[in-house]
Amino acid sequence: MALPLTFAASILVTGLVGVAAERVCVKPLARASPLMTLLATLSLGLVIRESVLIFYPRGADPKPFPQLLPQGGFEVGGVAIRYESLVILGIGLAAMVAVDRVINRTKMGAAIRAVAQEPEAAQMMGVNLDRTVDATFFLGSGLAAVAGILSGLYYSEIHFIMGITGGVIGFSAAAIGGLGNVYGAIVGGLLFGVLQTTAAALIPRGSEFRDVVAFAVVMLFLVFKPSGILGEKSVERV
Amino acid sequence: MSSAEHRTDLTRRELLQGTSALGLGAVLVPTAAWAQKPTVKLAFIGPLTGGTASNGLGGRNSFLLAVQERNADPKTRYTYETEVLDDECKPTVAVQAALKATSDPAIVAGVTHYCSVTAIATVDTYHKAGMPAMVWGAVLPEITYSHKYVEVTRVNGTMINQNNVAADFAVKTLGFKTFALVHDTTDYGRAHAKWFGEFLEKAGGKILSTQGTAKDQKDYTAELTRAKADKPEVIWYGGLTPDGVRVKVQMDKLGVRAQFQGTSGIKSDTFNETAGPSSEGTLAFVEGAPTEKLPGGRRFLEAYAKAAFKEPSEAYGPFAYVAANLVIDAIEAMGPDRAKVAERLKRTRNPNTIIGPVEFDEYGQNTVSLISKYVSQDGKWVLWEDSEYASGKRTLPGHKFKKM
Amino acid sequence: MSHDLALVWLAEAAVFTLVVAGILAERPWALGATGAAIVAAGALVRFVPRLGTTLAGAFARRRPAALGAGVVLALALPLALRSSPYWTFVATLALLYVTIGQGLNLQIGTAGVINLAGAAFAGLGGYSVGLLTVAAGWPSWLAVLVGPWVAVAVGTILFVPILKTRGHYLALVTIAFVFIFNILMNNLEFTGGPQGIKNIPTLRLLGHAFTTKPVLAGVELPSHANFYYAALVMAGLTTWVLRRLHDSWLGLALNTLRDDEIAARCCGVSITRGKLLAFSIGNFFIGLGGAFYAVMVGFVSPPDFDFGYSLVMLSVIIIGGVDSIPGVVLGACLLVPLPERFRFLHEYRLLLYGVVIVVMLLYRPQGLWPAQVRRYR
Repeated sequence: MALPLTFAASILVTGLVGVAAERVCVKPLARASPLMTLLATLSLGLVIRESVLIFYPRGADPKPFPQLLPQGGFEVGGVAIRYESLVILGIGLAAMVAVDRVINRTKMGAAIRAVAQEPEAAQMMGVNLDRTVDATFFLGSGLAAVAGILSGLYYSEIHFIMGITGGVIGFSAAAIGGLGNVYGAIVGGLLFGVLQTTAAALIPRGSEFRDVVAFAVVMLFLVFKPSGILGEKSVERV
Repeated sequence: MSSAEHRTDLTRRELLQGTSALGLGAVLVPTAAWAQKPTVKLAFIGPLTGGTASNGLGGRNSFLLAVQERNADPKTRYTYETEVLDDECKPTVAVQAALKATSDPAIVAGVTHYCSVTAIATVDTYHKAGMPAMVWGAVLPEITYSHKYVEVTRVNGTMINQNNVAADFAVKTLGFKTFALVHDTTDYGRAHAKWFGEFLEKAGGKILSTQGTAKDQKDYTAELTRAKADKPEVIWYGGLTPDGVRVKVQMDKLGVRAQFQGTSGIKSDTFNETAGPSSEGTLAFVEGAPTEKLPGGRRFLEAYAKAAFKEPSEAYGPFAYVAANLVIDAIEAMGPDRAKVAERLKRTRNPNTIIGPVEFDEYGQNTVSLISKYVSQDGKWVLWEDSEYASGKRTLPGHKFKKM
Repeated sequence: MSHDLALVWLAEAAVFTLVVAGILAERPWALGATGAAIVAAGALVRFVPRLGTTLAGAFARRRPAALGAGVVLALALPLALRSSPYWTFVATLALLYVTIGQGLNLQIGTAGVINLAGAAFAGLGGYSVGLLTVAAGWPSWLAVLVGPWVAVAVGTILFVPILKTRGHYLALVTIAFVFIFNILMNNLEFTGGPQGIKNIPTLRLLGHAFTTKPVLAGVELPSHANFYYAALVMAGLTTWVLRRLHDSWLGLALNTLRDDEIAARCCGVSITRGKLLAFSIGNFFIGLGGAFYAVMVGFVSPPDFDFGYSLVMLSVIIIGGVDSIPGVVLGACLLVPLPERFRFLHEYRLLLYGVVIVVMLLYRPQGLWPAQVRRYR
């Protein structure tokens, strides 16, 4: 039972690191152009990655990840389904439902949505801006930690550069699905994965060009259906 | 005997000083004992940051170990200082690093590059500057065979010999007939796939499919499912450790019942540690004699362990160590003159280094490089000839699947 | 007043001396002493009352003289660095980043068209040169002139996204573009795959090959000095052209549409034309930088143009000062050589680089040389 406890601690710590990152390099730049925030957070990502490389014992190497999920599986019509895939799918869905609940059913969620729409008006209505932004970063970073742990459980190994494309693909997925819609991220993520895999499986030499196909579709979506598959309620979005 | 012991002692003390100074990245400072000897500078270039850092750091440590040992030796004519440069495994950065090394007149020679893309990019830089550079890890044939520069030599073998041996071994010794090739799309993986494929067909093996995958790709489900459909006896992967681990682990998860064979890129302790039980029965091939079998090699491994470096030496550490020693030998003989040292290095004939004999052909390529065959057994790389698989005590996964 | 002139020249000579000393200091004590001198000089200007304002006043009154002396010092730099081909190369690289940064600054800073695909457009320029010279046998100078136009032409693919998306969405489209470019270059056969294109012939001018060592005032310089002077001319011309463009009615119109599209449209500014024009002109200069890079190092390969380099280009304009022409020059001249200076840090270097970028952003979010409000007379 020690392992799930460690996971919980890791999610908590990552959430807090997220809050710290926000305090250090997002909030001070709130008034500057969003590009600065982008550059600052990407640079911070570099710092964190290189810190793992240098300060974690033998951080340059990939690390084995403990196995926790049931191994084995069954076959349905020639398709091998593994128990652990089902568990991961379940945890992912549960996390999304939980986030949806938090965003749409709680007071904090209402505050988050209000701040997203209009920070100043939200403060007029008594929303504590700092605490709300903290909460968002805690939630977002904690979820990223969940994703990292699930990835480790599935692939049985982790590496310090494992998150490098995850950020771009994650954002792409959210954008295809529709930013602002929790379930959009699921739909988008699924679509991105299906595109990559189909390209690799069906096109000759497809595995070399799978990301080209996936990113091209992302571009088309962003241009011709910027609100994503599930759409976002507000019209103006910058 | 006692003098040998005395020497190790000194070495160890120097090493500790060296490693603690390294923390700050400081250049080694000679202490008063040999301050009167003239100073000569040597460069090391390799990837110290980014995805291939583990190999670069292992090479750097081995290089520093060699230099520190030689500095501790009272018989040397010079005191050696080091300049360690990061090439990030990127060609532009490598050219900058090479220019920095060649621009410094105090630097007489270099031990340079692990990534093929950086080694091939800098060949002309060393030639133009007339600085001898000995490649310690990059395996692309063109690095030596595309020119006849006197300045560029390579201690490790090219992927040509490696794949020749690997293909012959898999087909003729082990009796496998059908192969599915997966490789990363860097020049390392691509060229490996090309040469392995050529030798495989010559040996009588059959390639069922060839698939290229991006470096650092996480999920190989699509590629492995596609390969699995042809029911190959062997899945061959041309690429480096992190990706190799994922391919092997996912093979097991997807129930791909085939032998797994890799290249020199996966022959690292990390592969066994990370893949865990999945690593059992994996094949890999490395240029050079098995370090742990030669007397000098065992001494190297012990000294490396004593030096308490933060990172392991990895598969190519011994090559960097040998390169540093050969370069120092040449400087001791010829004096700190780039042209003379280059000339001398090219004529190197050293029958017993820790990677076996070293001798260069007209292209500066080490010709007598042995290829060692390894199999993963109980979480360790074991020389094929010594393994329980060769003695018949255990059966390779590929052979087990064949029988069923 | 003539003592203004003396002050200006003295200040520039001091900066030049400190820079050269900082570059060439090898021994730890020399490096430490130079570092201390630079910090002391900075503190002097910052904290001694009236020194900063006096200097600024002198520079404002003597602009042509200050600029002229700056040009002379830039021309003299290879003489000071003649012992080191490496630093001559790094200085040339900084000048390339000035050219690229000016192009990118027109897009992002002036027109607000976010482009994180700078590396891809530089790569288009570079690969065009590689293909035109090695595969088609064109002379290098012609390929360098044509390369940028390829970047402009391929840039038209992004015309629709630029008009239809903004902010983070546009950022993501351009990031996707860099990734696609990189994968294609790496995996297509005619671009040479992961090894790229090698043996690109060097530039020649009136029979003088750029690989031979030039002799200036009786002093032999490293062969890279040829490229340094060519890059200096290129960066100077680019900066001059974009300064003119920035100060023209077009620059003003682009600023207006960056700040408020609706208001701009009300004033008769065509959003479509403005954005596409800025984007294409910017790509021309980014592609020019890439094309020059290709003939300078003699090869191009995919890792030279990956997303990381887009971020370096972005850092140059943000650290220098968004929409600030002199800021871009300062940003490039700081961000390119500094990581080289800290090579002795081994594996700690990239870590420090990230920390420095974050600290600079927090300390001066407006950039080191912020854009001034326009004044028309």
